Amino acid sequence: MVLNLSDEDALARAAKGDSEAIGLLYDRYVERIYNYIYYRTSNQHDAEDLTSRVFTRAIRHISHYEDRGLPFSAWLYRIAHNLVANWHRDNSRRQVVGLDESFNLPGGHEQPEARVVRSEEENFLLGLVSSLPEDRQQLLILKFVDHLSNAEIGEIMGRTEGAIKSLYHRTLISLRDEVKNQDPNHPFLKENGWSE
Amino acid sequence: MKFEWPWKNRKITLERDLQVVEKRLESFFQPVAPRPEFIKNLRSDLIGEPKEKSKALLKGGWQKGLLVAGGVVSFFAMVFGGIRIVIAIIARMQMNKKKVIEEPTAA
Repeated sequence: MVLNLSDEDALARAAKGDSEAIGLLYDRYVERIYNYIYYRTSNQHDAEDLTSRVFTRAIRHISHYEDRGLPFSAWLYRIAHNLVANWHRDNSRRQVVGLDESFNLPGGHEQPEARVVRSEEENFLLGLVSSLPEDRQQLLILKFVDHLSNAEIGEIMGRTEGAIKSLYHRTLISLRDEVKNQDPNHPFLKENGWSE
Repeated sequence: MKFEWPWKNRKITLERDLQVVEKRLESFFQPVAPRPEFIKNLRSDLIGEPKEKSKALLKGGWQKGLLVAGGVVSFFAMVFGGIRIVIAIIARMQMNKKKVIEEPTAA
């Protein structure tokens, strides 16, 4: 059965033009790639457009894919990263991390007051995250949205596992410092029991 | 009273703050569900529907078979034609030889 194939085996078959294997890889990664792009572009339309471009490019070049110890997922994320970088350059604007109308926030049954508080907090976090350098934003998305390990993130970003761990720690510290610098009396700090 | 080193306190405070940041980020970055129609349409654009694909492969197989059969027939037709030409040339040469031999006798 094609469904049980590992990425490597599916890739080998896909490189020979096996459409079932290509379909399997597509089904495995399309949502993850979409999520990554969605959080980098902040809107559904561009996320869909760039996701389709990632897979078109990947399938076009799948027969030339060389296994250099880089997992297929890392290859796909790199394509996505390059396309998003081009997109940012072409648009010459830095958009904030996604919170548009189509954003499927969990907790849809919350009371309106709770939603307002939640939205304020999200906007606050949104501002903080979008002020981070690109590589740190990428790291946070891969970690929290795609739930990748440090080693996997390292493969995608071309860094060692230790470097990713260190970058993550520095990112958390800079976010914490930014919060304290922005507004020491912000409700976010009090609600979260932040230290003085 | 137990004495606590100031840097130890600082370290505990930092770790606690970072845990708070991490927790908030975790709840902020929730996976987004793409539109099912988008996923389905992109799949069929890139790969095609499985059933259609197998039909296309079958169609491709018939076409390939016909092409091979046509190639074989053409090959044999060419060989047969070549043999005919060779035989015709040899026959013509032998007839010419016979004529040359017969001509002086007739004279």
